Amino acid sequence: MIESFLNQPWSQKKTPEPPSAPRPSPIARLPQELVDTVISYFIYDTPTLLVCSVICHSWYIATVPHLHHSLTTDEKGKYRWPGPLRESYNLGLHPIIKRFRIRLRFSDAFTPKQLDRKTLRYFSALTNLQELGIDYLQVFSFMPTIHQCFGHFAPTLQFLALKEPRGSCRQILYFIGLFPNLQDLKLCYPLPIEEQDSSADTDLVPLSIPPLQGRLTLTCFTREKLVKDMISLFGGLHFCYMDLFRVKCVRLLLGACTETLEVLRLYPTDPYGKGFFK
Amino acid sequence: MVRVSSNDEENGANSSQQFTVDDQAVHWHFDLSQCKSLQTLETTAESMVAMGAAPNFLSTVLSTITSPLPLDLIIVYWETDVDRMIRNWSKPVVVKDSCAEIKAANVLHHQHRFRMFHEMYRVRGFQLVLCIDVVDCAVEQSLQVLEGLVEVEKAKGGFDYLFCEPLIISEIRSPRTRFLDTPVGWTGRPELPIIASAL
Repeated sequence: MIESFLNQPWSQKKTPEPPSAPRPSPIARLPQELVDTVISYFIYDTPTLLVCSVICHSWYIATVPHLHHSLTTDEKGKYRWPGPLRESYNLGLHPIIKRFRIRLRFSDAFTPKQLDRKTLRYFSALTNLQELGIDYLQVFSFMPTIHQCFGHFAPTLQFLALKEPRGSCRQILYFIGLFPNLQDLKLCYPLPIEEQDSSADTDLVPLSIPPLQGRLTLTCFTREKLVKDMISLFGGLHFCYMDLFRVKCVRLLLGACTETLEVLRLYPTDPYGKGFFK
Repeated sequence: MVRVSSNDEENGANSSQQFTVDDQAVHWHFDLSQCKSLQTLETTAESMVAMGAAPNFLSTVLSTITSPLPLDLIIVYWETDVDRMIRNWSKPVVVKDSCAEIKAANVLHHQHRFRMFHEMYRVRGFQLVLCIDVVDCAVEQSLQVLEGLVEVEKAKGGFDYLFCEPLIISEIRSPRTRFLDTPVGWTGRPELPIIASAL
């Protein structure tokens, strides 16, 4: 009886198997297209993406572009310029970054000083950027070599947002013209300030004429001459979407986009609608 | 009548205009009669009822539209318009109990807006679209609030004048998608300093 007990398979000692590499989980063997499809359901759900990214290598590859597509520098603290740019460069993330926003304090300006040799190297590694936002860009201080600092965005950039750009109309348009694939443009000022436009670089002609067929957002915008120059230098305007608040030259803009404008966002709080704007 | 005293005539150089009558100023400034492809007019729920909003602004703008294309009127609702408060904008969390004052004010604002829609519709027909544009974590609750409001109004017959029911939609948002498409510097709405989370 004891013998028969010992002969049972479950009572027998297993001979140890030779050590081998752990078998990959079936989930790791899914075709990459399938993984991409699964991940696409969570692209707005960062916590879930983070969980997915640690499952296996193929899931990490599928999630990382959704986790790191945006980079913002903050006005102060540890995310101040150029900290995040340097960190993401060191992590090798720059090729997957699609949006970059440079936030600065009001007292600061984005000048060539911010782009020393090392920082320019980090900046130039943003080779697939589609959306760029810069606060207080001092365009005139980059002239005439502005192309060397921003030219690498030319093939991919589609959205440009400038908060209170500083420079003459021609200089700003020259900057916009650096990006031949630009579709959307946003120019924002905190207050509508009537100021005499600088006449610097009046002969400056943009290097390209961007299509600018997407969305135009203007806030507290009084630089009528810039719009007039844009119309003449870019051969008209073709925006299909306009978002306008406190804009002095609305009629000019509407008149320039009569054939293309499909969506218009306006605000009843706009002082130009209240009748006592002078 | 736009009082047309432009400084061009008076001073020669400056081209800024002076306006004296509300509706006429709107009519002059936001004349959409030449926009042949216009299909959508958007505004924010907040700006419709904000202090200082021109009362007939949207009606006047609508009256200038001559395009025969069907028109969508999109009203964009932000968090506070639907009783949602966000505690921490860098890692947004909805505050469970919204401020009673905001809720009370919103009740009046909703009624006011619904009346305005009717007045605007008399000027020009449109498809009314109510669009929730809030942070991800507030979308579901905000949709419920808006759907509830519309249901109540429908039950009262408040939308009987529309040729089809109001459409409720929501924008997909996350903090990181917002920083480039929110107007800067005037809404009081913070921009979100979001950074790649692994940094």
